[in-house]
Amino acid sequence: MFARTLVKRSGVPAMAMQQMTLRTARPLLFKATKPKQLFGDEVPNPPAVPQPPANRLKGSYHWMNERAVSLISVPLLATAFVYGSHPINDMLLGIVLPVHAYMGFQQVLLDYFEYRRWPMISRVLKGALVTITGLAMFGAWRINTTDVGLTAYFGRLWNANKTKKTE
Amino acid sequence: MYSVISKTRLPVARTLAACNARAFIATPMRERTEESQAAVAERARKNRPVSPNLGIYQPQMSWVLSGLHRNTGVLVAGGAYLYAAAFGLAPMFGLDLSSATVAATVASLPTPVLLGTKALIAGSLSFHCFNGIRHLWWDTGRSVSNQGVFKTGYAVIAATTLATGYLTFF
Repeated sequence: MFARTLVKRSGVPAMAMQQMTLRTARPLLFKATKPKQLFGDEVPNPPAVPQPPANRLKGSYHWMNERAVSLISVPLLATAFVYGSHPINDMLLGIVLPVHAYMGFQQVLLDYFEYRRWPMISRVLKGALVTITGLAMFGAWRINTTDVGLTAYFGRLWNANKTKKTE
Repeated sequence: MYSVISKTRLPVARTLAACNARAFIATPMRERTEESQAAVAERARKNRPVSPNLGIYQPQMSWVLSGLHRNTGVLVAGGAYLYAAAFGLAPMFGLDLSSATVAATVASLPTPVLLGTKALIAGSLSFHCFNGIRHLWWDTGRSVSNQGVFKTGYAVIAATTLATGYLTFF
């Protein structure tokens, strides 16, 4: 799948293709050793544990996705608190915040109900998490469409007693 | 019955010979039960004391803020999940969760309850947000020293206090 570009770039044979390095603007804190150049018909050692195929949703990519979602939610929340209600902001909040919460809960589940120790409970809770996230995104969409929108809704509840006083 | 060793010169042998009888030394026998080894082990595991852990660990900037980050996150996210899911499913159960209705209910709550809840939500949300920014700051490799942890930690605490005070009362 990833054959062409990687082979052209590194000139390393097929088995080492699984090492996709993450390119960031800032140099990595810990230097990872690069695979040495192989001579002639040398073949790299097979991994002791079979390596899973590189997946843009797993491993270090998942870590980066987590940071990206967290980073996006900062300006979204800031806009909501400083500017106020805006339909596009509400729509984005209704997508980004459930995804962020999903990833956070996923980490909590991984910590306390890991699959190898709790095979049944972890599967049940994972399904429950997916369900409740879907329901929450649906609820957020419903607030945005049939009601005043996430930010204004929250604002109305938050300032409910204040509007009563001024009246 | 005379012991074979009574003729030796060893002091132990002489004492044994002097006793002229075999001393019966044994631990008291326990009652034989039908319990399997597994049941005994289970009972032992349940009644075994646990070494002191959270109760004696000195509260430190590192783990207290980290634990708070997770707890505030679960609190805010869990509450938001439940509320949003309830709003999504409201027509199915005939609930009216429109902003006007709920705002009226909230306004009718007694002030201490209202202020307490608002302080809790505002505190949790603002702490989680500011500590989240602190985590992202760390992820770029900055302030990952002991002093850095303390400095950023105090900054987060200060920001949280200010934000909670403002959001709760204004």
